This record gives sequence, structure tokens and C-alpha cells, in this order.
Amino acid sequence: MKLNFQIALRFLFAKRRAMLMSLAGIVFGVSFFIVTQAQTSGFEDFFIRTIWGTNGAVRVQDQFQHTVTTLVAEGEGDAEEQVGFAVPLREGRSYIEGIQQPRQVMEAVWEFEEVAGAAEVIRGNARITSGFRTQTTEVRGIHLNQYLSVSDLANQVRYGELQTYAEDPHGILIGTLLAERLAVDVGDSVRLQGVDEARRYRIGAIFETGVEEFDKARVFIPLRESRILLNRPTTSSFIQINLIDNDHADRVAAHMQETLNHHVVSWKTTERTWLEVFRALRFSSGITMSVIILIAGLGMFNTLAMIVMERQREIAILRSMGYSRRDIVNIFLSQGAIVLALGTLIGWAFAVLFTMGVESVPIRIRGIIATDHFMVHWSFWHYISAALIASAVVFVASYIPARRAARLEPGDIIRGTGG
Amino acid sequence: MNRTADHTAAGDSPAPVLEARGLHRWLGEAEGRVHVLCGLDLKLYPEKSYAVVGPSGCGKSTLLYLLGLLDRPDEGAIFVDETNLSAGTDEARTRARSAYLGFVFQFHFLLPEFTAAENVMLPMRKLGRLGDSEMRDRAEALLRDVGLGDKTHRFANHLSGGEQQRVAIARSLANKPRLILADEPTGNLDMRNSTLVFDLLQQVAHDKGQAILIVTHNRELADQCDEILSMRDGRFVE
Repeated sequence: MKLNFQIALRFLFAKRRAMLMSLAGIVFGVSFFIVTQAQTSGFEDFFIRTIWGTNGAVRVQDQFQHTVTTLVAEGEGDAEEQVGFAVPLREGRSYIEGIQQPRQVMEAVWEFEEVAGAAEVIRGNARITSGFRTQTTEVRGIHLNQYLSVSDLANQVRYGELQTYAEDPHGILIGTLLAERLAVDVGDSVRLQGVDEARRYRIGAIFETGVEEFDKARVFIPLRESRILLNRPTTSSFIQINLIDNDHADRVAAHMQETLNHHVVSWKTTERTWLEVFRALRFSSGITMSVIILIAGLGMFNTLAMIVMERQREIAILRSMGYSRRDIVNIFLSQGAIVLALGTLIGWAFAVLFTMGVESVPIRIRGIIATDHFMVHWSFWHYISAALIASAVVFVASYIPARRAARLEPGDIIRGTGG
Repeated sequence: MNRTADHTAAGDSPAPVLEARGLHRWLGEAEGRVHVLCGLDLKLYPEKSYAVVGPSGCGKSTLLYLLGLLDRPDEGAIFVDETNLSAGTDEARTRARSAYLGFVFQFHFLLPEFTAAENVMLPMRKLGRLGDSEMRDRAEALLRDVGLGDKTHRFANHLSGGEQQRVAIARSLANKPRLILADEPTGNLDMRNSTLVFDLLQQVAHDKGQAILIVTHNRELADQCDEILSMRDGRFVE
């Protein structure tokens, strides 16, 4: 193999200009593939972390009961002798809004070993007023310590301190955009008008989730306050859950639903649309970048095919000296392998540099996420995937000429050349 | 009528380095099919040089490629040490070429990216019997034998036509083959280089105990060989 490799290297060097073009194609294909994957995965990853940090991984919602619609047939004869029968026609569910027995459900939730945190939440709408400005807000009643275990609220605070809020029985946490609209700051007080009650709260901290619809409408108040404000003395709206591995949310949600008789949804279900969008973006950018690698592979195929054509006599003499068909295949595959190895290594190095560069590019995004620069996700698998795609393309590009070279009959070539 | 180059009559003659029995070869397809070799028998002995002569198309080169295991006969067999190599697998014939045979062609077919010494080392490195330094020493010795001792590190494409052909001869001797097959080895050289190359081949046969079979149109060179095998229409003739 060492000898075949040396011959391959010399053959390759003789065609260095053409091979450099193929090498450049592999380098750019591999590096851009990695950069685009890092970028799309980066935004997707950040979106998912935002979702986990705001909505948790699993949510236990409305209680349900199984129902069966039956067709009842009455028998003939006297009432005493009547023999009737019932046929079940359709199975269904009837829902009862919210969680009627939150404490029992919380205990049941903790029985699942995958659960890392659970928080009881009461949700409702209210009117929030500051000075002369009033608008509708989504009130969430929480127990702070519980909620911190199922969200990223601790890291979402932009102004003020969570501790201030925790120590104040009439404290409120308010979204950045809502605070902006109401022109309020930490320490200011706002008035919430609930179902029957109107109560005043002091802003302990201002948070930013990155999701615009949350930041412009959501406020958090203590759970006991929300029971009064929203008139829900015993029930809760849902239980927000964080898992040890949030990627298992679908399986755990299905299991919980079956066990708890409550409607349970996972983040993968609620965010399916956005996840599909990110997946499509990643897939399409992957295809686009793979095309660059494919074009480089075509260039390499062309160059190797030329080498086979030009080197027929040398191939024939190598065969006459005892080089087997396998040796010839190895010589041409080695040429591909050299370009592949160089292209992949240089491509990886460029990818690291490009990714670092992209990561520092400023871009202001506010919507489903909030960021001030490009998001990238560093993954070993992006590098492996790029190398695998390049390997597959280069293997095909070099194997076809290699087989052609190995099939050459030395006698025919020498006879033809010798006249 | 077939002619057999057979020296077995002499009781103390050595064993042949290669033997061909009843070689037939057809070339072409369907109606254009030509019976190129018509049942040739041949035994080649060490320290002998053989010249195959005959008009173009009589089957000289085809015979050489069959003997060189570069082609398979349609009928008949080629034996080395009583082993039928023509019936062997492609791998077996490749190994046999590496171990038993050396080739010199009309065109040198050197690898231009390799030096003279590296070209000579190519068959040795494939066979793998010698270490690196031994191979290098042997390559340099062979190049000295063919008068190129001072050009061992020259790249093949920086040598003249005659020098390249002499490198090809050195390369053919690299693995100490039993038989050297030369197809018009001087066909592309001027008179001076032709004589030089031919003398070298003759010298190899007599000094190193190898057999040489040369296919040539050059009657003068053929006359200097130990035996002349004349061919016509796929047969040996008187």
C-alpha cells in the first residue's frame, strides 16, 4: 500500500493544477457545509432552549374523562319481561378545564423518574394599568422556587433582582416590551384588574424571554395572589414540567397522559411547526452545500479519468511488472483519498475559522427568539457528516476511473501502442 | 508445420525456464476472427537467446504476450516448473510475472515522475523480497551494468531515448527473472543505441543465466541470437 500510495502521490502531483481545483471544491464544500449546519442548528438550538426556558418541556393541562356513546335497544313485552341491550357506538373524552386537584397531580407527576422539576401555574387574563396607560396582559401565578426549576427565568431577568420580587408579597415580574409600553421600571407599581378583584403590585424585576409575544404580554405574580385575582381558589391551569432529558418529552407526555387522565403535551408537539421549519432549513442548506462537494467530485472524476486515459501505458507496464488489478485500483483510490484527506482537514480548519467569524457577526433578531448576533451550534457531528458526504462523493469519483484502469488489458495496450 | 525450440535431446541440458504446449489463439470477433497462433510448442532454456522473426501479423507479439502471461491462450498451456500458469487466476499470473518474467518493450514505458533508480526499484518493491537499502543498491548496480551509473537520480523524462531503453532493461532484470521477453526492444532506437541495447541483452543471457526471447524485424540482430524462431501464419517455419 505504501508503494501504491507513493505512485498515487506522484501521479497526482503531475496533475496538480487540476487536482488543486478539486481540492478547493472539497475544502469549500466541507467548510460551508459545516458553517451552514452550525448556523441553522445554532438558531434551532437557541429556539429550543428558549422554549424550554419559557414553557418547559411538558405541560399537564385539562383533566379528561373517557366517554362512551351507546345505542340502547328496548325489548318487547311487559315492563317486567322486557329484555333490552346496549351497543357502544363511539368512544370519546370529555374535558374539564384546568387541574382540579393540583396537589395530587403534582405528587403523581413526581412519581415519574424522568421528571427534573414541576411547577403549578395559574393562567388568566387581566387589565394592567400604569398611570394613564392600560392594556391586556397574561397573568401567570407561580410559586417562584417551583417555577425556577422548570424555566430559565433566573437568566431572563434584565433589570432588577428576583430576590426583590421573592421578598415582596405583592411583587410582580413584567416582560421588557410590556414595561416599555407602560413606561414603567423596577420599583414602580402597576394595577391589575382581574375577574372581580383589582390589586396593586410593585415591579420586582423585568424579564426578557426573547419571544416577543411573551415579553409584550406576560407578567408573573405569586400563586396565592393569582388565586384571588383570577378567582381560582383551588384549581390550577396547568403544571409545567422539566425533564432530565427533554428530548424524551413525547414519550413521557404520552405515558403521563395515560396515567394521569389529564391532557399532556410535549414541547415537540406545541412547537412542531417551528421545528419543521428549522429542519427544512437545515436540510436545504445541507443539500445546497453537498452540491458544491458533488461538483468538486465531478471535477475529480474528470481529472482521474484523464489520468487513466493518459497513463494507460504506465498502467500496462505496472501490470506486466506484477502489479495486480487491486494494486491499480488502490493507486487510483489513493489519489482520491489524498485529495479527500487534505480537503477534509483544510475544510475543517476553515470551518472552525468561518464558524467563529459568523458567531461574531452582529444581527438583531426579536420574534421567536432574541439575539444580537448569529447563533452557532458547535457539533462534532457536523464535521463527521461533512467528511462522510465528501468521502462518499470522492469514493464514487475515484472508484469508477480506478475500475476502468484495473480492467485495462496490458497486452491490448502495449500491442496497440507498439503498432 | 510447427517448429519446437527443444533442447531436451541433450541428456545433460538444464530444465526449461518456460514451456508452451499447443498454443492456439484467435483474435477478433465473429466473421473477422483470425487464427493467430496455430498450436505452437516451445521450450526455452536458460543462458540462451531466442529471436522470433517473421512478417507483420504472423503472431510474434501475440506469442510474446501469451508467454508473458499478459494474455490467455484459447487452447494450450504455459508451464513454469510444471505448473500450468496460463490456467491460473489473474492473481496467480500476476505473481508469476513478478517472480519469473521481465519485459522490455519497443517503448520504454518508464514512469516519468520517478528517477531511473526508482523505476528500476518498482518491480523489486512489488515483489518485496529485499529491504529498502538492498533494493537501492541493486538498482544502482543494474544501472551501472547498463552504463547509467552516473544517472541513477535523473528523472526518467530527463534521459535520452537510448538511456531510457537501457533503464527499461535494468528494470526488466530487477527481480532476476528466469525469462526476459523483449518486443522490438531496439525498434525505436538509432543504430548505435540498438547495438548497445542488443549487446546488453545478449550479455544478460550469457552472464546471468537467464533466457531471452526477442521479437524483432531486424534480421541482423536475430542472427546474433542463439536460436532463431521464424514464424508465418501463426506457425514456426524452417
